[in-house]
Formats: sequence, structure tokens, C-alpha cells
Amino acid sequence: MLTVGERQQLEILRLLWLGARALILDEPTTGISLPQKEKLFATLKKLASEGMTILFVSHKLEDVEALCNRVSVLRQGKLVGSMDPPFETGALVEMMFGKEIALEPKAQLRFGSNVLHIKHVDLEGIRIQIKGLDLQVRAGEVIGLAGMEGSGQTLFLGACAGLAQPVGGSFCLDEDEKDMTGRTYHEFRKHGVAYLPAARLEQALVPGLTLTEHFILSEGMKGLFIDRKKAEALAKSRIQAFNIKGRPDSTVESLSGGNQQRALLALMRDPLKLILVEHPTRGLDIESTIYIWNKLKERCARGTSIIFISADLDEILKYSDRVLVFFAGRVSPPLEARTLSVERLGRLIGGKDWETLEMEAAHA
Amino acid sequence: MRDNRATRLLFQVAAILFALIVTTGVLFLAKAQPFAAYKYIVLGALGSWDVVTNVLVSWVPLLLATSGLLVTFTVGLWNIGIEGQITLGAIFTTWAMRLMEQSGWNPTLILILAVLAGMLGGALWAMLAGALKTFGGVNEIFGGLGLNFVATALNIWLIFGPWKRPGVASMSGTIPFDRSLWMPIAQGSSRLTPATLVMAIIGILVVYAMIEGTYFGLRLKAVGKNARSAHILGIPTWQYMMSSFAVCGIFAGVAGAVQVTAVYHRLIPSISSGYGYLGLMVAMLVGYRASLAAPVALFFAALNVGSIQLPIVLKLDSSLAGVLQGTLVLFVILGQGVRSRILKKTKVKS
Repeated sequence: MLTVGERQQLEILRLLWLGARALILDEPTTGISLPQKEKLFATLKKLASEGMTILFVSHKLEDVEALCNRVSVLRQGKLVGSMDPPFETGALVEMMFGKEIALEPKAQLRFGSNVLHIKHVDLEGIRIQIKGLDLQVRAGEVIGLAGMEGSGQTLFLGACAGLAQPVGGSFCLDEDEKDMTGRTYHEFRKHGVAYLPAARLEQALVPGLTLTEHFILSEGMKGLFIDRKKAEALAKSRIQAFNIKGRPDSTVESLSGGNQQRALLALMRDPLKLILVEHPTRGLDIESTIYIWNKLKERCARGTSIIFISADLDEILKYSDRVLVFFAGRVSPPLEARTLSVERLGRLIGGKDWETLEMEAAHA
Repeated sequence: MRDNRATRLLFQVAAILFALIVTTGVLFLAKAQPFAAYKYIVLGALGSWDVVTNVLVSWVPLLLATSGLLVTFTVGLWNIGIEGQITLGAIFTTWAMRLMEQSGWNPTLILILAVLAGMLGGALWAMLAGALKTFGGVNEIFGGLGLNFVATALNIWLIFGPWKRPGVASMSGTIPFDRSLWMPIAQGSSRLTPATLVMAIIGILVVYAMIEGTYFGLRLKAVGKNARSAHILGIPTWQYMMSSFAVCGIFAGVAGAVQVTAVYHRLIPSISSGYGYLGLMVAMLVGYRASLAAPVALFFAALNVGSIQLPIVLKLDSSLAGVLQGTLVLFVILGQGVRSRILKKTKVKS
């Protein structure tokens, strides 16, 4: 079987043979080896010098700097700016992630005992590998996962819920270090772990079913015949408690994105040890964003830990206690959010400064 | 265009009209008088108390098969293997009857045990298709289709082998059971068996209550509409798929048992009579809603019985009912497709 890099070479050859005059490559350096990348870049440069147009989509700043004659930055569907060489990394990072915002100083919280202990875990995704990840999450702590989409965060978060199985290492829950390695998602769920996917209507809610029906399902109500009265009372109280704009008999797809997200929070059971959230506020308005984080913070205050993925660096810095940065399957050691800036985080996400990170880790 | 009851009804009426037009066209091609054909179908289905009882006899296994299929459709499965499940139900029933024939037990007890055996046979065959899907990664359509052929082969082998009539093996099936072991026939009728009617009616009511009123049914719905989300919400999805296979198999098994104990009184090669496939069509036509299954199944049974006399009176093949049923399902589904496309367009525009 051909490797990803070889298949890529074959595809480029095929397109050239068909007489292509422009090549559009979407994240072509993901999943290929370093020598293959060097070969690819040499080829692309040669083709460009022969008059071909190359469009290169990437979030890896080094690759962009090594290859491109011009950079355009897109953020949230808008062209934010362009730059000709020499590229200035700081300006690029600013374009990619926005200006530094002043953060309110965070109170140094005291965290409880260990909720999740990840010991030297190896994970294998479709095009991504994570090796030897260690992490201890304490009760009430919020961990933010930063990185470009597809850098391994989703794989890692899924593994924390038992949705993906590690190929090495172990996951332990609680102070008593209950070994959950190899257990199913439903066993993690029973032990107080909740998972909130980003694709709400595809992975978290069932279109066609009403809010009441969702509450019945998530509560795991027992018996033969549905207790409609009890279910409706439950739905009403949750709809009120979470300020959802909808009725008990509203189908979930009829709700707005913000209300769907509120519904997801309302579906979570109580108490929980660990909440895993993908993009908690993506696509939501300010009001919903604040609301959702208030609800999550309430849980933290009661000792629940949160691990969340976000593409919004402000959100990462504002709400996390510690941050893990993912870059092509590499995972940074946990970084104190208080000591991070948007600039530094942006450089790490783009694959810069990782050597200093390792040196710091070696000294610490 | 708005998405409401009126437009839905409009499309359904249009589908029926189109189906009639196409069938009429087919009749013209066959150089037959369309209206005479329709008239004879109506007369053949409703003309006398005797043909009406024939319709009911045909309605029972069809409604049982449809009821079972509503459960598998609810969980999002295409249980095309229902034909084989009916056949296995019939085989298990015959087997049980053969074992108890000479026992001298109370006939009612024997019949009850035979129907239970049929349920077991249907359920086992359905769970085999389920196991192939869950543990073998075989799509239930391919697995079910394969198992249908195996079931037919097993049936033929039994009829021509171990269970053959003394002296001659024949396509007419195994030797009929003693009259005392037939499902009791209503007085003043030649074929109507009230007990099976009761089974079919209880069956569809049970399915309706199960899907609309129980936690089990709600979880089936969730898995059927979005298995991934259902899993995240804490529902063990494969167990629910397996259970729905088992439930459908039980219904198919009862249908097979009815065919053996109430209709043919023996095992015949085509014991399922295509009720499984017809049940798939009924379930599709009613949009997988249990509330409409009984009347539509009755309509299909009437078409089937009504067209039986077409070969005699009009020299037409009796498969005309199949043409009408098939085009009807096709146009209803086509109507749904066209409707949702139009709805999508109006949504995009607005």
C-alpha cells in the first residue's frame, strides 16, 4: 500500500499529466514524512518557476515561510490581510488570531484532588499520532486544548471519554486511580464523564425528537411506559433553568444554535466529575457565550473538571487554568494560562518555538 | 410552498392518481379494458362475504409482517430478510406440530405451542441477520437477502427430504395436518380463523404502543434517527438494533405460523407467499407510521385477492395487483422526494 506521501506524489503527477495549470493543495504536509515534504516543496517551487500557480492552504507557519511568495490570511470566512516576504511571524499570528485582549487577572484557585490521570498515553488517529502524553487534571480545573483543527485535540478529547481507545498508556479516574483504559464510552459516562461534541445535530442531538424526549433519553428513565407527566415536568424545569428558547415539544433542529448548545448543557447529568467539550461557543452570539461559560463555571465551582477544545484563543486564555497546545500530533506540556499571551499561543499553534518549550520542560 | 398537512396530502393524492394512470397505461398496452379490470378487482375483493373473508385471510400475515417491519424501520434497519424469517417461522411451527401431532394433547395447547415455536424460529433467523450485521459487518440488506435464499433452500429440502409425503415428494408440500389441529374456522365461513385475526390486531396495537408509548420505542427511534447521537446520549445502540431484529422476527414467525396452521395446514415451498416483501411496501407507503398500517395493509390484501380472478374473466395476469402496488409505492416515495426538494429550494430562497 502506498503511503499518504506517495499517494500525494501520484496525484500531483496525474494532475500534471492531465495538463493542470494551477494546483490547489489543502494542508498537504499533514501526514507525510520530512523527506517527502522536502521533495514536495522542491517540486512545487520548480513548478511555480515554470509559470504554474500554486495555492497552498496551511496553518504551519514554517511551511508557509519556506514555500510561499505571498500569504493571505483568512479568519472566520473573511480575508484579514496579505503579506509579501520577508514574512513577519508576529504580524501573521496577529492576523490569524486577532489582537491581544486585556484579560482580567484570574484568581488563583485551589483545586481538589485528581479527577483524571493520564499516564503516558499513545493515540493513533487516521492521519495523526500522539505519543507519550501525560496529564493530571484536578477537581474544578479547566484545561483548554489549543491548536489548528485536526492537530490531534479531537482524538485526545475522544480518548478521555472512551470514544477512542489508546494504543498505549492508561487513563485513570478519581483519587483512587480507577483504571478506565479500554473501557467503553458508556462506562466512562456511568463514572461521571460527559462528552459534548461540536457537531450538535450530527453527534449530540437527535433531529426529529423533542426536547422532552431528549431529557427522557439522557436521564435514562426506567420502566415500560413513558411517564409523560414526569418527563414534561422535567423538561419544563430544565428549559427554565437553562433559559432555552423553546417548548418541551420543540424538536431540537428547530432551535437556534445557541439554544441547542444550552440544551446540550441542560442534558448533562448532575453531579459530574469531568466535562469534555468541543468548541463550547463556536457560532454563538455573545449573550449565549457568556451564559454557557457561566453554567460551565458553576460546575467547576462544585468540583467538576472541564477539558475543552477551542479555535478561539481569547476563549482559551480567558477560561482555562492550563493549556495544552497541539501541533501535528505533538502536545505541549501543560502551560499555565496566566503566563501565556495570544502571540505566544499563536506561534505555538503555528509550530514555532517548540524547541524552547522542550528546553523549558527539561529545566523545570 | 409550505410544509404542512395540506401539501403532504396533495402529494399523496397526486401519487395515487399517477399510479392509477400508469397502471391504466399498462392495461392499454396489454390491450385490456382498464375500467373492466378495475371493476373486477373491486368485485373480486368486496363482491361477496366469501371474497371479503379471503381478503381478511390475506390481511393477517401481511399485517403481521408489516408490524414487525415497523419496528426494524424505526431503528433504521432494512430487514429485507423478513421473507426468510416468515419461512423459518413456518418451518419451526411445522416441526413443533409434527412432534406433537400424535401426542393426544389438547389441540388448543398444541396450536399455542406451535405458534410459540414459530416465533422462536423467526426470531432466531432475524437475530442471525442481526449478528451478521453487528459482529460481521454485513449490511442487513445483503445478509437478509442471503438468508432468504438459505431459508427457501432449507424449506424445499425439508419438503422433498425428511418431511416428504409417504411415497411421493411433491411441490404441493408436506402431508396436511389432521383437521382437529387446524386453527379453528369461524362458523359460516370456509377459511376465516378468528384467532389469527385477533393475533394480527393485537400485534399492530402492541407495535403502536411500543413505538409511541414506551421507553424502549423512544430509544429505538433515537437510534434510527441518529445512531451516533443516540450513542452519545447513553443508548447501547447495537443492543437496540438486535432487539428490534428479534421483535420483527417474532412477528414474522407468527405470520409463518399462521400460514401453516390457518391457511395451508401444511408446509409448502412458497410458504411466505411474498408477504414479507409486500409488508416492506406497506411500511414504506405509510411512512413507517403504525397508525396507518392496518388500513393500508387491508387495501393491499384487497388488491391481491381482487386480482385473482382477472386471468379467468379478462385473460389478464393476476400480477396486475403487483403493478398497481409497486407504482403506488414508487410514486408516493417519488412525491416525498420531490416535495422535500421543493421545500429545500423555498427555504433557500427565503
